[in-house]
Amino acid sequence: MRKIMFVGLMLMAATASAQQIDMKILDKLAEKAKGKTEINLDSSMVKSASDLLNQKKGDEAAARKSAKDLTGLFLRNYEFEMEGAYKREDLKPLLDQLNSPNWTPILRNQEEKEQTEIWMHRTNGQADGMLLVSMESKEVTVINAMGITNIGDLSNVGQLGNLAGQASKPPTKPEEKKANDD
Amino acid sequence: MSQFERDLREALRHREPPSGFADKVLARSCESVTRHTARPWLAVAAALVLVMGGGIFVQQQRQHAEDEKAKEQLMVALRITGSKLRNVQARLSTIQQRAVERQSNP
Repeated sequence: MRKIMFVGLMLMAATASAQQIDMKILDKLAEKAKGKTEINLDSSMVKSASDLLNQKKGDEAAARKSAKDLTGLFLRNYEFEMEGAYKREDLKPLLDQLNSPNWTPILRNQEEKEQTEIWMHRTNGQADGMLLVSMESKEVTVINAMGITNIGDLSNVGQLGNLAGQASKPPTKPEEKKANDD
Repeated sequence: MSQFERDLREALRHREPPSGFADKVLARSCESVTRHTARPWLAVAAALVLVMGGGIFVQQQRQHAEDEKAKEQLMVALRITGSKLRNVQARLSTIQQRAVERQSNP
């Protein structure tokens, strides 16, 4: 019985670590940034924080609802003084971590000075994590939300139209998911 | 001699203490000494209770402060995440709108 529990715990830990992206490589960007927001909330912190959210306050009630499936939330937001302070290649080591069958891109939006990617992590076909990378001319944002099953839950809007629907669907070919502004 | 003087004399008249009075006083005195020796232990126990209680209170306050900080961070993270997702949604809507316009005006 103990062996089964141990194996189960190891599997859970392995799944959690697979969803979590190593963000230490972004430290180089942090050095160049004029403003930064770095948030690391593990499972226990998310739970204790959620317990303090007031269900009667509109904003906090929405946050409580959003965080109900969260098992971890890691965020990096860097603002730069001028354009060209960072290169998109600087984020390649981060995106290289997504070269696993469990990670599927559900959206890639590239405009002249802006690129946004949203990836979903799936375990046994079930969505259980998200990574959002937003590269703007003077701002970089990386959000790793673990345990999330539907990205629509993370938005106060509640619905993200087709985007929210795609996140809960089984993975399809990346080419079909690409949403480029041509 | 007036009545008052008689009463006063009577009140101030020397009386012998009851037998065993001295022994009782000495016995009480010993009891009092015993009580005094027990008080430092009580003080130490009370101090320990206070220190432990204080420690637990400080620990609880510290935990509460950490939870409050985590709550603030969660709110900030969710606001930023919501904002980014809404931006994506807006861009998708624009793309969709342009596609519709192209179809209606080929």
